[in-house]
Amino acid sequence: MICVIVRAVPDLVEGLEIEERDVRPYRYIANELDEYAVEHAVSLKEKYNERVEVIGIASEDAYDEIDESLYMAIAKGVDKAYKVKIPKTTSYKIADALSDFLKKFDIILTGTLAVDEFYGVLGATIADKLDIPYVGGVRSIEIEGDSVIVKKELGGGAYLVLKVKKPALFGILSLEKPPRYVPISKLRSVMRSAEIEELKVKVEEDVLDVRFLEPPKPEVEFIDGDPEEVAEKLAEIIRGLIS
Amino acid sequence: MCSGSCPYGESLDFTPRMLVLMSNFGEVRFTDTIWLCSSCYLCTFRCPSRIKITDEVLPKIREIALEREVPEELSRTLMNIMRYGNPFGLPQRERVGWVKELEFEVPFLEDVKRTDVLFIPGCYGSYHSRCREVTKTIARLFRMMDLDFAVLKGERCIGDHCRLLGEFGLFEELAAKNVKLLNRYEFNKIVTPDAHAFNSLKNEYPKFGLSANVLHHSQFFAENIENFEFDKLDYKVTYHDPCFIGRWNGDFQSSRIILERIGVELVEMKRNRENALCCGGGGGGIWLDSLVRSKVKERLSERRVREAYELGVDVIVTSCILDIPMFEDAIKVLNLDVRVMDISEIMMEALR
Ligand code: SF4
Repeated sequence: MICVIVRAVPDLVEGLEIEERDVRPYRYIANELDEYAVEHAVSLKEKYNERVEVIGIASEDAYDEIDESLYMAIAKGVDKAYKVKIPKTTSYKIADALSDFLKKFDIILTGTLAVDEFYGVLGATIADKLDIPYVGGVRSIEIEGDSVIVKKELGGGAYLVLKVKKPALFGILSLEKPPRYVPISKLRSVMRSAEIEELKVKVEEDVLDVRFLEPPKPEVEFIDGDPEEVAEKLAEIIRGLIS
Repeated sequence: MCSGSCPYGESLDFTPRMLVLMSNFGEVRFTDTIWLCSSCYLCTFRCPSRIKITDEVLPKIREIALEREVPEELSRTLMNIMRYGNPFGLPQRERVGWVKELEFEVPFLEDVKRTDVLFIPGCYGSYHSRCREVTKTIARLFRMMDLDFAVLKGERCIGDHCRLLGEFGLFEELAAKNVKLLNRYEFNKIVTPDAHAFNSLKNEYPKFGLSANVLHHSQFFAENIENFEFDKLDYKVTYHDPCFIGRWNGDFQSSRIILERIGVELVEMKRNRENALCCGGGGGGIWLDSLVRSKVKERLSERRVREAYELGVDVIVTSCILDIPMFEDAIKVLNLDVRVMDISEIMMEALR
């Protein structure tokens, strides 16, 4: 059985409001790489007839906004969706909270990283907690008996092929095609018929100390004139800097 | 008639006539070439039995096809429209970004609540860098007329392409949202340079509760031509009839009235007015370039600019905002030397 973890993250298209002690997104959206993970899971279902479940994790203010992505996952073929409210906290605490639920799956997928978590540790932390192997940077997955064969991106066009024994957790990095679009009428009918089950877990809120330190404004000088004049002035300034 | 008329006829696996027959027998077979139709309306316009091929048969077949598999290029675009209300995936607040690039202020209808003319630039007019130039030109012409006009910050994709692509659910959602917003304010007319938005606002939005006088900018300027004193331009131009103004809505005159008034030399292409060749951008064609290119030898936009170029014109004038990127791209591909201008841009040039 496959599980995909989908996180709600700030929608960077709509932007953020940065205040002195808080960063407030205008809107939340499912993490892009997590949605890629859903695509991979659905392909596995189509190919190997595996049952796929998805769990959405969102903080209080993103708790409703994660629904769209979960219903879309169901419309694409996912068998069941859960969601769980988790306050803004560290990956370690998220892993702690979810490990009980995730125990029953033998393939767990999530995005290698998230837009609000660039160091990409959630997958590895959960795997560590469950004591199962973790491979990140994955671009393709196939199942072979009790193992999984993945291609792991190495950069520069090179990749690594790994055979991993189930259960295991994989961080997805890319997708061959853009995620499939689900027509609105289909999405609406899924929303009417399917239900998202809410899970309750206990997580302590972490005291995250956010501080926005505005860097001092540098002195800016605009150089006017035709290209030659500008080049001359610029050269002079550079000369001044290096001498 | 329909199959022989279709400009992509030779590339289609199933011609319009075969599609009509298939849908009559309730047995639809799928092929990628159903995405080639650029909603040019030639088949429907010429159909002696008045079968609504472009706006009913094809979109319905596409609707079923979308349930099975959405073309790759289209997935991202439709997702962007659904999530952000525009095909580019750009933020909503950027929609009125062009206003800041003007030398004067344009009021927002959300603030002033009532206006004479509500100006709806559409997604391309709002976000696409070249099309934004047209939008600004129109705003400047309005200003010269001392017109009381305003724009909407909350406008979303009008959705005509979604409808013709068979994504009816998305179209309905967009229409309902836009109508709800529009009905909050007072205005006498809507003017838009987007021929596709014009078509939907005029012919489809009434079904969602909009009762407004909708004009295309070429119609608005033709009606108000007395407000402008033009210097004669000694250009040789040809006019491309946009499908959604000409065949779809029966207006072949407005832009020609303006051109005559400016006093340019207007030469007609072989295929003009009701026989005009489509630019290929309609019905979602503007988002399906790779798919289209993989199926046809030459894009419609390329055929059209060659047709114009052979007349030896300086400028191809059009009044549909999508034509501008379509034609300019084709000109680059073919390495030709001819300009593309919107009707408002040639007006502005004649005013300087
Ligand atoms: S609308 Fe135009 S492109 Fe579409 S099938 Fe008819 S003739 Fe062909």
